[in-house]
Amino acid sequence: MKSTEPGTMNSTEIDDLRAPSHWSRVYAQNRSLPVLVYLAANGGFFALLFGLAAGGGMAAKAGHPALAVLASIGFFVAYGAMMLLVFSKRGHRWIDEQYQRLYTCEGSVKIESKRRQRYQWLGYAVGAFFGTCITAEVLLGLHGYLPLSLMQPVSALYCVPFMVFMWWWQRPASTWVMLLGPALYAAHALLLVSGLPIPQDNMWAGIHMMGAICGYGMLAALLSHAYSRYALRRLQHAAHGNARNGQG
Amino acid sequence: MNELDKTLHEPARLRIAMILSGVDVVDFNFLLTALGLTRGNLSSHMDRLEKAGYVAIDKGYNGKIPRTMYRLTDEGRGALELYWAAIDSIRSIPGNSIQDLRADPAPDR
Repeated sequence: MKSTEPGTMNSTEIDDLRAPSHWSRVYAQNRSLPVLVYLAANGGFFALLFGLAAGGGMAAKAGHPALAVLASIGFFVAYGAMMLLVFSKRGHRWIDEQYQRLYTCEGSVKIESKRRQRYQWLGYAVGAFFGTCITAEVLLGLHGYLPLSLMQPVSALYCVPFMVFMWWWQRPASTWVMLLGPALYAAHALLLVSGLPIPQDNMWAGIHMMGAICGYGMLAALLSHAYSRYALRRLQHAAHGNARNGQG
Repeated sequence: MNELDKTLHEPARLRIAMILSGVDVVDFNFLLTALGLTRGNLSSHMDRLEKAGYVAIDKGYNGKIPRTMYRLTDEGRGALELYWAAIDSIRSIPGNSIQDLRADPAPDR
């Protein structure tokens, strides 16, 4: 119940005044539209890397070494560009520009990750390790050393820790909702290992890995975006009330 | 009993400070979206908070568009903590209602 005398607050209204702090934080953590853009860009890179690796392998087998070399060069250029997007200042600036563009109407609100700023080298190290793992696995799979049915479950062994690391690295700016991505990817791996009858040819192996990483990430980002809309409503509800008392 | 901070004991300014306490940096547009105040009114509240040393202002550009960013200072954070401690101590006294807060000191407008 609101007090009637201007400028006075009853007990409930005083408690309501604590809410904006919580909801502004939840809203800031869940503004995930740039994550969707970022995952879509990474999905494009994944598809390009997969295509170049598969194409290079096929060219080598078909006796076209020049094409295979070209595909390998393309692979490493695309890989470098992806690493730039993920870990460089320029990549972060690009994401920041998308962030500003997508939220122009609502304005800017930020929580800074001191961990990410302080330990940038750690990001490079983990990113390089992740890139090495994924490259090695794709090469092993293409040369027949790793069964296609085990590609996604094996990738979960390093992808899930990598995604959890990325979440931790960006704390407190990241939201717990984004942990849904690695959780679903791990569940996907467990279902495949448990013998679920899922298609496992060349194309499907790629979809199980790259498609799942981006797909589950985008699903988590969409849910996070929906949560941000809810948080904004709660924030406006909490912050509008008596704020009008301060008008005029 | 702790005295209430006159700058913060005003609903709009307290809400602004609470929003800022939950995040690191916000811009003017975000505060407009969240609070629903008029531009002039929000601006005067922000001036008041800045003069008290509770808010740091950083003016810059986003491309060609001017942008004003606000951040709660350490002093502001401390003042907010003291404010809530004072409110809680007043509320813990049996028979004290929050309307009593109006009696001493009055909110500064």
